[in-house]
Amino acid sequence: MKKVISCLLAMVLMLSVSFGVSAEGMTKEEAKAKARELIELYSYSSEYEIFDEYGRGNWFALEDFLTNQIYNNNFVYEDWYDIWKKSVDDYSYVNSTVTNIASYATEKKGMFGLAANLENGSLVVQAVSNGSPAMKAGIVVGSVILSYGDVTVPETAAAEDLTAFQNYFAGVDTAPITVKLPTGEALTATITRADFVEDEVMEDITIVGDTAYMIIPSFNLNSDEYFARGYKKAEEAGVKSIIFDLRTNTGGYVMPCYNMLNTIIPEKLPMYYDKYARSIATSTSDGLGSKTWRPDIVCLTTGNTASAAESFAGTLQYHGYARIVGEKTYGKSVLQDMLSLSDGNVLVLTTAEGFLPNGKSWQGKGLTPDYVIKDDLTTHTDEVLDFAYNYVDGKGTEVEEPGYYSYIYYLKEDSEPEFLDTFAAIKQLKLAKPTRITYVSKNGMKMIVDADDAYGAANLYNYFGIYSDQSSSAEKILKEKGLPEKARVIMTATEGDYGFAPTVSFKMADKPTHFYYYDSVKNSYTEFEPPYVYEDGVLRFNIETGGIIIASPEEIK
Amino acid sequence: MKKLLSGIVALVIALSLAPSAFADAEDDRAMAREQAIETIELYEFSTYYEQLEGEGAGNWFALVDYLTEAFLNDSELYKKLNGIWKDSVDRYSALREPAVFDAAYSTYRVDQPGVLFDFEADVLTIWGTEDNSPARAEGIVGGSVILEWNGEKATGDYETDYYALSRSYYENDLTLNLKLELPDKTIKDYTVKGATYDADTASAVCDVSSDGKTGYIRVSNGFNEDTHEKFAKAWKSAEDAGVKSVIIDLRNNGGGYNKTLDAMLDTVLPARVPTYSAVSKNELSLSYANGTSTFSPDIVILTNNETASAAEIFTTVLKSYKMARSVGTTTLGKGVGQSNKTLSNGKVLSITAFPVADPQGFTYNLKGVTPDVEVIDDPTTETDEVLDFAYGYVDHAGVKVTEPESFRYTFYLPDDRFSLPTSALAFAKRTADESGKAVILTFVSSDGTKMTVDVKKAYDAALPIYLFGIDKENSDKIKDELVESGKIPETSIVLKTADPKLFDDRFFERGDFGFPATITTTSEFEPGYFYYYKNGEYEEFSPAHVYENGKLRFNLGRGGTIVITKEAL
Repeated sequence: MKKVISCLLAMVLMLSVSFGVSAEGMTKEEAKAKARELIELYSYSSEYEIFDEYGRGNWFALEDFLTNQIYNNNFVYEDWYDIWKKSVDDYSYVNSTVTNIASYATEKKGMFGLAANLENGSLVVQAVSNGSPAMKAGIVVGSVILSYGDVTVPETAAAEDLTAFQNYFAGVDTAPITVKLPTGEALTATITRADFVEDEVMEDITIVGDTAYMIIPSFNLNSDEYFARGYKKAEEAGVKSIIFDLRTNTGGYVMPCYNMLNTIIPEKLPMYYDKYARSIATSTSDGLGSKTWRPDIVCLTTGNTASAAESFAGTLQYHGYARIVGEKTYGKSVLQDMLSLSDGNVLVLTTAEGFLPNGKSWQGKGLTPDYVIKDDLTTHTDEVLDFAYNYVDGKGTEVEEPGYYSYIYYLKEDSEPEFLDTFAAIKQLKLAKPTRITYVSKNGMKMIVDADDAYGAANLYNYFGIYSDQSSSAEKILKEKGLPEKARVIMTATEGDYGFAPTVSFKMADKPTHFYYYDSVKNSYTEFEPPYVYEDGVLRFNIETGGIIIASPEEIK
Repeated sequence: MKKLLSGIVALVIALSLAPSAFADAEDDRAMAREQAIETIELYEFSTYYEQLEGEGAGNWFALVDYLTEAFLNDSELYKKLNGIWKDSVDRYSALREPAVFDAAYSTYRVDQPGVLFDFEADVLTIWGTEDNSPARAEGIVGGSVILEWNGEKATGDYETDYYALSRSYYENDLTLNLKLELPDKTIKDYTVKGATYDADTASAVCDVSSDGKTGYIRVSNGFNEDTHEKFAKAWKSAEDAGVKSVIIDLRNNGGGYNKTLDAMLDTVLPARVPTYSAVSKNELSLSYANGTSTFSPDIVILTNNETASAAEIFTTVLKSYKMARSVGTTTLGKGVGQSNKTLSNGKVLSITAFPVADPQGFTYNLKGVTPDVEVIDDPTTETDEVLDFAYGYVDHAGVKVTEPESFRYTFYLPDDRFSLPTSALAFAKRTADESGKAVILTFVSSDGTKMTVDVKKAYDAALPIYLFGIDKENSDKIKDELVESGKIPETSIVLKTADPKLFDDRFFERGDFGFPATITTTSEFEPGYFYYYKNGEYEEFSPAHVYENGKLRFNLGRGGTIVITKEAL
């Protein structure tokens, strides 16, 4: 007899619009809207995977459905995988565990130490590992591969030639190879797989007069240990300057890079931060570097200097510890996390972007050298290194330590949610100084948040920053309603109690005397008296709760 | 070290290999399943890390572009993808137009006829009518089959007829001229004109029995926006009338908002007590009542198989405190809640987000809440057998509930793992802060091993991700390996703390909780030695522990793999 869950639910189920709308004859705008809707649906669905053993959450059902689809070949794996592949950036990919770990190990096992890519119809050597059979044979970056085994590379090589090259070397232990060196000479050698330690080169520093020269080949798992020993040698030799050669360094792990910077930097400073979708991971130096031995540092770079190597050189340059000589770097400040899939593959996925404390990143831009110079590959001399030897001045740098660690983050939207993980991470670091994050909205208005306060407030997340457009339209509307012409209106994200007092800061022509929260429902002003500073046309004051806030040079009646 | 996240920042040159494990023609089901799982994981991980912008970044921005192009060139693609999404969600999840959604949990009907349809029937059938509705006023009764509306004849297909009728209603100036076949098979015509009315006035009223001892409150219209206010009125009048027992009729109550539920529990409960918990991936919602009621009648709740969701929680909470008994039939068993998300196009996604459990970890999902006494209403009679029974069942003796020292919530781990991001822990901490009580969480693995943590301490330790519970599967695996290689005796206990696969192992191997967690497990022997085991090495530690009646309880300062033995290794 009684068959309805509840009238409303029943009605809603019946009325719920079936959105399997035909996709035919769509305009681009419509297609885009549909794409967005689907992505949001997936995104939200995955956010709520439920692990109830009876409730069968969304993803369990999806698993069954996809299994059937793939099994019956209605909607094949390739279709879906293709969409995924196109949705990620160039640095994200799926790989087998072995390949991935091996490529950033300090100790290379049974490798040729050679990587090539297709460049203008030629197979060009992109990387030669230090200490590798390839390097010992005399092959250098920029060499063009002419032949290998019994294969002659065609005049105009294509993608399949690169694949054939890779497959050939994956299947042999020893092989003859002929290359044309950048100097124009041909080189024929037989290279044999071998074990070698790439990072040993860092201990092998060269000292010329008062200057030490160190090649930093990569940021492998244990690079920091080799670096520390090499750096120590330079200190013991008492050199006044040191040249780090990062020209073939394409990056690697974050940890060794961090440790190496920490070995060098004598002061406690903010170094850089990584912005994830839901958090900011900050890095500071421990002040472990020698305060008495401060060498002048020069980093050598080329367009191949990438990622962690840019992070290394960029951080030293930012704080004035180092100058960069050479060519503009590659420009990759995004970083990847490795996530294990249940089938044993590893997903390498771009998850964050690295920034210097002032909020600038080198993504797509690269680092600009203090002195630009390009090596002439056709000569046997190293013009860049020769220049660097003359460029060093032996004058180390001392940096004044600030009272707190400050990071500026330019909001991509007017305001963004800051999940608690940022502040939890900072708290767990037990830093020597407080950390402040300044969120800069599109119109330049700022909100400054003390990490410790924000964490203590135990808010689940808050939106930080100030709505640019909505602030100005609220200002316009309120002025029409009689708000004094000289008052400023700001609208912060998330109305309600922050539980602590973020600082907001913006330009204002007149010194304010009164502050109000505006209640848009009741159309009423509630005065509050925040601590504030007004100087050089910039107002700075504390708010305890978000909402529509008015700073006015005259009283509002 | 001042760097937490060990990401990889490298320029990958021509090293990336595309996975080649594509399904071929004769793929077996296991392979298809593996690929399905991989696909899901890829999406999941990618969505977790959206929001990068600019050159070389921004997974989802790129996906928008790609899909847009794909839809333009292949109109079937959207249908396929959409089909996959639809089939991937449970029956309570839906995408709704905003207006429909807003109206869903209000009892104020605007321009409605008030006819309820029996959506499980094969042909368009009226289930009943709403209180105060025009249909009720016209005398329409449940069980009537609709033969014609506004001159249109029913086709016999439920869905077709439903939509045709709805359209006709709006096109005919909110009027339905119905030809119905009544339950007694007679044919009769009705005219219903839409009106605006409040469909729930009943929950504001308490009917006091003639002897003055029992009150009856019917809350049958869901837990709508203002149901708690109405219910509070009825509850107050029951108290004022001095009744000893209250019958709360939750039959056909399909649930609604949790804030309404909370307010109703506040009204009924006499003390500050934990009520229920809801856990999702990022949220840990621990509800408690702020009850101050001095009125403690004996409560009997009437339920049937349409009592669902919030109404089931209400019932189960009061029953868990022995404040109420229930009578009728087993409830529907919808122990999952939905979160509402507004998409950028304004539509509202109502998605199943969390299972609901009582503080003891009991979930009635799919099982329903069983009544203390099963009483079935006989549909062929005019009398309400269930209600009549309840009047005789009340014993007029209320139960006193006392406020506990701390709020305890138990969670049963379905797949032997549990992880909580800091933001979820912040929910729990807020419960502790607001209530002024210590909040203690216990995570129970499938073999009964428990891990107990104090939320405040866990929060203060400020680990970005907490892992709770024992990973049963891997514990057993490690134990088998060690026993097989003769490293540890057969009787040893091996416990590995939870380890979510989403995150990098290296990050968690340090394992420092920063606060003591309590582990409770069964042990056949008096434990002599405790070790942390890692990579073939054993590190001894001496935790505070108690062993009695075959149960071992000890404190753990950090996570990892723990080996417990009788003799030294």
